[in-house]
Amino acid sequence: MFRILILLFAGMGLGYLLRGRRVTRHTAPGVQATICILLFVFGASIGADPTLMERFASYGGRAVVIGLLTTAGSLLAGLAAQRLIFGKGGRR
Amino acid sequence: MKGNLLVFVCFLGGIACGATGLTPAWLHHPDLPVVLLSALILQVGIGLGADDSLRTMVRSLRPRMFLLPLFTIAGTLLFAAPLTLLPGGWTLPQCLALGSGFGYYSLSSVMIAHVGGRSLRRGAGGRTGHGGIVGQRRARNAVALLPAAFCAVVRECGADFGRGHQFDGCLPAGNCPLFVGQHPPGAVGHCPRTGVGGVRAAAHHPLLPSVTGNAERRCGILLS
Repeated sequence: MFRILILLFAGMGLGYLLRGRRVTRHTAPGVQATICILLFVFGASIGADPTLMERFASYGGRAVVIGLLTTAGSLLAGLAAQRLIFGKGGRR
Repeated sequence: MKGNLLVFVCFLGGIACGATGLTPAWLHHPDLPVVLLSALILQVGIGLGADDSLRTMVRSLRPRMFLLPLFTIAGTLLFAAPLTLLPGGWTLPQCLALGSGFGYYSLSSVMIAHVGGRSLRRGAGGRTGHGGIVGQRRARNAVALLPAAFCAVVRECGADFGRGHQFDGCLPAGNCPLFVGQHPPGAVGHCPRTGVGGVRAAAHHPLLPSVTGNAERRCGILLS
């Protein structure tokens, strides 16, 4: 965790020093590319696990239920927060 | 949306390559995700530091925006609790841990690999493996990223909600390691919600250092 924090702050400092420079405009595509590679690596680790692949349907079914339920909860709570805290329309 | 699809395709491509044995051995090195994550965080930091609007955004934050992440945490956990009814016999803490993914890929999965993965390997009675957790998080992320849902939120909340939305992505970080630390080995836990490109994931840390730090220590105790 601390390594991540240090990296983040180091990056922020570096970005601050380099702000306005051309190189900082390339961070967004760089981030996207890194995420894609990261997800590919994760996918490969899952695909290479025969036990997991055998139970993929079972895990997948649970995952869909978990995803739908928690996303619904998050959305509904967000809407409730909008009405209660920010007022109708979120303009308060 | 295009970026999200691309990421999802990469994930599916990874599964296909892994399943067919096309991936080289070095791709399965346990340190590789950490290296990639480090590169990601560094880039996110550079992006944040170079962003001229960061100062304006921080100044425009209002205290009541803190309530938004609290609401979404409560809502998510409330809806995660019924997962105990699913076949498999998950306990309530396990269900809450599973449900508290709060979001997105990148940072969280790597942290799960470190925190949850080790405890899973230790837990002889673990019901699911690391890959299972990651897979479940992927589905959670995929559902959360459905464009219709996202558009509905944006439409309902209006433009002023934008900063609150960012803020919402920062704060829910704390409860993931809390649940990881609370349930026994074999159970699972999740890590912070992250934004597109991992920006929000990175931004959450300075906001909840004490909670996260305590949780990290608790995880350390659990894993030691």
